[in-house]
Amino acid sequence: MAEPPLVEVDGLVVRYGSGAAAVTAVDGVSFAIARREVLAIVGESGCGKSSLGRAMLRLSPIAGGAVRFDGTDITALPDGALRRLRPRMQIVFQDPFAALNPRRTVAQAIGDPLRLVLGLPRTEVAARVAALLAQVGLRPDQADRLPHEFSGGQRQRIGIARALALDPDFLVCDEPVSALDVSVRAQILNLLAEIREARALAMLFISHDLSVVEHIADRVAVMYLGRIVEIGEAGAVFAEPRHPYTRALVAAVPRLRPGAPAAAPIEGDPPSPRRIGAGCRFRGRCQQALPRCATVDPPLLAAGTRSLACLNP
Amino acid sequence: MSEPLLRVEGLSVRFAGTRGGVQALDDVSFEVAAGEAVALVGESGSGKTVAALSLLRLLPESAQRQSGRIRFAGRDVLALDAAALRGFRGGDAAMIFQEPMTALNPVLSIGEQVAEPLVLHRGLGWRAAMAEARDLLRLVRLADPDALLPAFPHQLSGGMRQRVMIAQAIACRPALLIADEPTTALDVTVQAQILALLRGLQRELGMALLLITHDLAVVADIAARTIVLYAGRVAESGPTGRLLAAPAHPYTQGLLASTLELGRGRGGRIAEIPGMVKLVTQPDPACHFAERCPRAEAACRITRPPLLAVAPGHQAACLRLAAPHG
Repeated sequence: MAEPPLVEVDGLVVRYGSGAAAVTAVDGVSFAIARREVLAIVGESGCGKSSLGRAMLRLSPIAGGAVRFDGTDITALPDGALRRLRPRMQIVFQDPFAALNPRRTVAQAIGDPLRLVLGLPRTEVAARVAALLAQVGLRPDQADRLPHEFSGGQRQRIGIARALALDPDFLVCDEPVSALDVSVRAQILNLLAEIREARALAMLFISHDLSVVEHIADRVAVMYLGRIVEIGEAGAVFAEPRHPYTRALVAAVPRLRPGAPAAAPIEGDPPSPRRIGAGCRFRGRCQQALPRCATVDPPLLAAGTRSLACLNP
Repeated sequence: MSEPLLRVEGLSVRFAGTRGGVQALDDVSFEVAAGEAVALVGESGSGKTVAALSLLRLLPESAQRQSGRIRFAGRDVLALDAAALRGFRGGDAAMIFQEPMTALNPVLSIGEQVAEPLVLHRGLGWRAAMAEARDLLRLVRLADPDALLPAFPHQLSGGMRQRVMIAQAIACRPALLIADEPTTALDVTVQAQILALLRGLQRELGMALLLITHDLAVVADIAARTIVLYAGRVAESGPTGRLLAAPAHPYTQGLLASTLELGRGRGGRIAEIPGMVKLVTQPDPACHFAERCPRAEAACRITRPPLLAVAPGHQAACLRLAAPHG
């Protein structure tokens, strides 16, 4: 009997605003993440990947469906119970500078959750902060500095140390390396891989960068306009993408080899979640759309280890 | 050999500041031939944007150009008076930026913004300029130009705005287009479209292109030659294919090794370049990469490495070029 998943998302809907002005950012998404598993969400601007990641920690407005963390539905959990669960699920943001209080030292940023949530005494907090800094590759003498004294990569290390402070089981990483230079990005990805190994973490890794996802993720879900269009084992999905949108994404990734056959890029822009018509959401940019794609909204159907939402793959 | 379209010689730029200032460029030289596509690659702090801005004399007041010459089609760009400079910018050399939303004027229509350079530089009347703006929008593959002319930037997607900026930049058929991270703010499918457009326009119009980017992967398909900057100096330059296949400078090697490529597979440790880009406050007689370099030796910390030929057209600034790897 397989271990029950750590996190389960079931028909999740995230909506901002109400009435005619409402924007449905995530529209009926379901998946599960096992313990120690890294599930990546890829997609372009406006596909709902960040809204989804935040909803999993109840940081964005959930309008329907359920998010179960270790068996507990957090969507309707009272604040007190949610607060007790939150230490186990943490988030690392894209822009570590915006995510850190500019007037709090590194030791305070990392130590605050230990003090406020766990109520640890001062000496214990200091010892744990030192251990966390060492784990993310910062020196103990940097503990009393302010965020502006650090480079982007170092700030992301601070953000990771803070997320790890309460020893979570589950980490949402929202584009954690997108703002970093290539050489620094490698350092942070290696650090995340080490930490995941050492702490047996499960992760939801949100990224627009397919090569980063292929490197770090066990499975990948491709999102388009609030829906998952394809989900499966990451290497297999990128080696053999089956949804036309996944194929377009893979073809659009720039390659290091000059003269590599550049596929004709798909036309158009990722559409706005404000204007969603009937039928398949991708059909306007799809080169193999059928007449019925305009009327039938394709469900996400499993075929082996892959699931796909397409009438004409 | 005839004179290149653009020749930058020994350019040094520094910014004064509270903590000793920043030496943004330190004796940088490079050339772009007419009709040639060249990439200027570097990470944050490499000086790539300062180099690009210098070419159009767009550096802020706080920048001090200490030395160097910029020659464009036989003219000394740094000696142009205000009127000549106005004609040069947009007329001879134009630039597009990373964020088209902040580069476009939010209160002017798309038509006015694309037509304006034609009125200013070529003396066209507004009616004729608007007609040509319509053709330009078509040239950058924007569907339905008539509907776009009266539209405003906020009504367009990021990809469309970048196309509008390109249309505006090429309006007067400049001999050189400088593109500063033109796709960094765009989604990957839109990035592919814009790169294809720039590649197509560069060939169709016989225009030289200087592409400024942090991403080695985007240079492969577009640039014939690539110049790698590191901490204000040229680390390596050469034909793009050769530079990517056989990088000579340890920094370029490290950068390529740490670049992930789709199809590489799952897991494993990514090669890292330890540390971070050095903040250079003073011109110093050392290799700027020495402290992160796996091959550095004592001489690297006291000698500025000259650019040495590795192969025809391929140069690298490294004292350890001949040394075995490792």
